[in-house]
Amino acid sequence: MTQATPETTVSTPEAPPRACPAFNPRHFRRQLQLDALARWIVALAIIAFVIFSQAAMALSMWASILLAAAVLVLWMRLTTVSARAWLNLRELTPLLEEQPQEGESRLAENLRLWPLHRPVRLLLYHRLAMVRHRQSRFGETSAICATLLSQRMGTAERVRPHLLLLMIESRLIENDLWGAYLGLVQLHRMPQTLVESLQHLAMQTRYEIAAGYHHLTLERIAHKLAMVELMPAPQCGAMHVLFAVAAEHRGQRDLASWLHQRAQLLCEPEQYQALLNGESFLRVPGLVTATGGI
Amino acid sequence: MTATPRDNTAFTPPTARQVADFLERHTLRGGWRWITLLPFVLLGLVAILLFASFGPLANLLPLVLVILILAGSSWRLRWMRALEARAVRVQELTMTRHYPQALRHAWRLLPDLRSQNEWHARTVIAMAHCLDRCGAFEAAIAAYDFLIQRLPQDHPGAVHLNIQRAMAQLLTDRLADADDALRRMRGSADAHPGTPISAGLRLAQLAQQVRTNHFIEAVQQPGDLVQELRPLGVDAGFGYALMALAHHRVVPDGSERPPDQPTVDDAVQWWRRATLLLPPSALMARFEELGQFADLPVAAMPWPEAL
Repeated sequence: MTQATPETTVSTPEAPPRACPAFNPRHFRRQLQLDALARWIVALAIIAFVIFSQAAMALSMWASILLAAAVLVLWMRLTTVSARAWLNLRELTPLLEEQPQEGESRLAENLRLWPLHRPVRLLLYHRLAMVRHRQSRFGETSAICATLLSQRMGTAERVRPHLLLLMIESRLIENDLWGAYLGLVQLHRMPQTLVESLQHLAMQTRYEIAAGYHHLTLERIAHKLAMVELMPAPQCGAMHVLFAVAAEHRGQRDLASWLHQRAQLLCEPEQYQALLNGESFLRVPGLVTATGGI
Repeated sequence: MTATPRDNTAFTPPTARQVADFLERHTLRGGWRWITLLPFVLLGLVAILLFASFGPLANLLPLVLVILILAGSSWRLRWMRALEARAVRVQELTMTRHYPQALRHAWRLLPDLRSQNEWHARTVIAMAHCLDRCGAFEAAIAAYDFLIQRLPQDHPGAVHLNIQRAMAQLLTDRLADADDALRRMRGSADAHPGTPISAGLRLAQLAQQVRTNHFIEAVQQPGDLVQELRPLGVDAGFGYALMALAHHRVVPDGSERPPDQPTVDDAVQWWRRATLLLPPSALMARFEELGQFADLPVAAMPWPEAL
């Protein structure tokens, strides 16, 4: 009778997920310069090849073919790396929501890729700003956003409002009202989608409450309430609390009471209590985390 | 549908048959593979032309082809962005409750979205929602059917759409179909507690109990209704209004009173909650049986003068 021997299985421990390094604006700019350098080299190689291909053909056919192959490899390298990063970007957003650690590890891998097209690099850093925002590293979020916003964004231009929203929220949480105001001014000048407008309204209200401009918060309140009702319930409830605070400051007790009653139906009791206690007075979680289909 | 109505007053929702035919005619056909491959084919042609000499004019051909490839890619990108912008517009009109306009835009847009999987689905969802909110429930059910058939059964989106369809079936008195759908969805919705999916199911169950005159069951259903409907936001008001109606129906007849003895005050309290979130006109437009509250001395929650 043969005795079954236990199988010797070698379990390979999974590598711990790597975190993205702290943001360094100088490193970021160097990466952009290196990307640009790669693009220029490829572009010059293609132009030179087109111009001199006939002459090279006359000299030696094999040299000419080798030259063509070299140019093709360079071009493929530039394109495929960017294409891979671009495809990863689409998967990253849900991954960062569902498995933040794994998502950050994947993001770190993508940030190390070279060479990348400029918009792809900028979008990867946009995702890094979202990660840092989620991790409550607001100083770093603000720095990333400010650095990206100072760049020419090209086809990544459509994330500019979202970057501004992330920056404004980070600055509001850090009590940098002047910085938040500057962000809001920029945001006002920008075309926005409906989702971005809702987030803009939330930031604007939080800024006004923090800066004591309660009368501004109550301007066009009916329109603002109609907008707020389009938000998910927790955010909608939180906005009601902010409006109620403004109404209390302006002595509009009926309105304040009505808004508080609505907020109690819309917010979880713990969230409502936390908002009343001022624990999360300036911080309504999740308002700016969605990318709005970016 | 009056194919593409020019304004809201001229708007007539399409019939279920029209919607089903339209969606079948403009179903997804997948991307054109040759369009993706075309730049590579042209690049190959450029390489061949570079090594072949057909004369001085032919030497310019590679450059012309490179320019054509770049121009074509740029045009395609801009075309896709324009489509995306139009699809976003449909979503935004739907969100802001401009249902006839959203429907008109979606009707025009859908034929162009046949190769855009994600936006096609989103636009059909918007159409279904608009039809539902315009009161064209049969047409909405046709759109929901189209979507549900194309999604895996346990996909959260499919569960949500099934619940929406069940609600539309309830509102058209297709009670057996709705009952069947709600039974099937119970397990799937339990996998998403505290989300609009589970809240939507709870609202549909409540609507079913009211439509089938099971008022005592509605009143006695365990659980905290406010907590369960909270993810719906202000739409939770529909559930509170139905609960007010259930209490109101149970209270007058002493023989039907359940052991926990709901009182008129309970009905008043639920109605006040409902009208705190939504105006009575909106509630009655969605559920016509709520119209009886208009004749009763049950006060709606007054809205502040500042509004």
